[in-house]
Amino acid sequence: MSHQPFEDWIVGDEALMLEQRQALEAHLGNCPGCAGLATSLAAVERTLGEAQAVTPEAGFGLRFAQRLEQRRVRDSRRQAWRTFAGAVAAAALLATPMVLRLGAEWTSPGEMVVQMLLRVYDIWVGLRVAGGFTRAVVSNLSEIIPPAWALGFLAACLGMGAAWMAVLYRFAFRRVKEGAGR
Amino acid sequence: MIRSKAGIDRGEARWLERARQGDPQAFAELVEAYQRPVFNLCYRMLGEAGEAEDAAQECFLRGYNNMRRYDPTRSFSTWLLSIASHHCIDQLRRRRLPVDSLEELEPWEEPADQNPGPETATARREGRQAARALLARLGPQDRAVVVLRYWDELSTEEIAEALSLTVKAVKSRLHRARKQMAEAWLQDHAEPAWNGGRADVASAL
Repeated sequence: MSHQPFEDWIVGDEALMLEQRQALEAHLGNCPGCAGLATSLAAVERTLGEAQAVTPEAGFGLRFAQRLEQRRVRDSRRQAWRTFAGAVAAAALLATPMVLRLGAEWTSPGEMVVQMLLRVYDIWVGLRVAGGFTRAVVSNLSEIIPPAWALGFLAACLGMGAAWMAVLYRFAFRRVKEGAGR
Repeated sequence: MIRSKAGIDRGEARWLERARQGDPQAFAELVEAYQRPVFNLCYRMLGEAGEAEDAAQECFLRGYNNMRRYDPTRSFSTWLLSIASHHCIDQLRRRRLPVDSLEELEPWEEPADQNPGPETATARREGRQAARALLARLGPQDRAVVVLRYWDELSTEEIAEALSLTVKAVKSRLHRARKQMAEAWLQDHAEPAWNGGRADVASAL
């Protein structure tokens, strides 16, 4: 015996027309399988219909607020660690060529110390020369650079600083504040 | 209470707008308003109160973090239930396949029953167990379709939107799930329904 379309009519979610309903009733009288399916489905629907919606334990909102705060703290920490790790990685990347060059020159521990001290002395001398040069330039700035140029340069520096701050705020701090990026 | 097309009253619309601007207090109001349907969905999907609490909390966190993406012209309830459904489906997929018999069901943690009457509590407990046993037979997505239809009373179109499926796919899944649950019921109840339950046939139609 064919169980179609009766099985679809029993299980389907749509209302049947009068003729369909009559044909289905006639089929159910002769088909124990489909009759069983119809009865079981009625029991299933009754069970699902009677099972009331369950509620969480009291204080759900409070627990959510606590979890939200914990997540914010965790995200802030993660962001801080990522920034720190990025800075360390960038510093290591920049220092690598210098270390490699110094390493090639070292032949003994004593020489290594001497070389390092010489480098430090070179840097110190370089900073002093640069300081003297900067002082000379600043004291004669009005003669070297016209005031309008100096103001333009200053404005450009301030603009770049502001752009840098905006980028930091947009991609680092605001993301943490919003708790985004998960 | 004046409700818009998306089923949102004015007070809720204000909370939604403020929550979209990042106001945690406004979102807390939404948590209070929607904790029950979200928790119920998670509980029906996962079948255990502790996991349901965790999942519901996670869903609200995701909702909070993605409030800017919420389209206010659509139903907030459907959007939230969509997040919850997808989260629970992922959780279930990580677990295992649906069970084939009642004996395979693991012991479960009941949700707190706030009604003190012992008879009512027993009846509710039995009802929950029966519903749980039926849902446990279904795959994650079919289970979500059934929960959204029977408990949240969403239309086929709303279920399709919530689960990112086509209307045709929802109808097909609902059809399959109903058949699967009816067959499971038949299998679990020793006396064949066509011997003992012929009188129920008429009422079943």
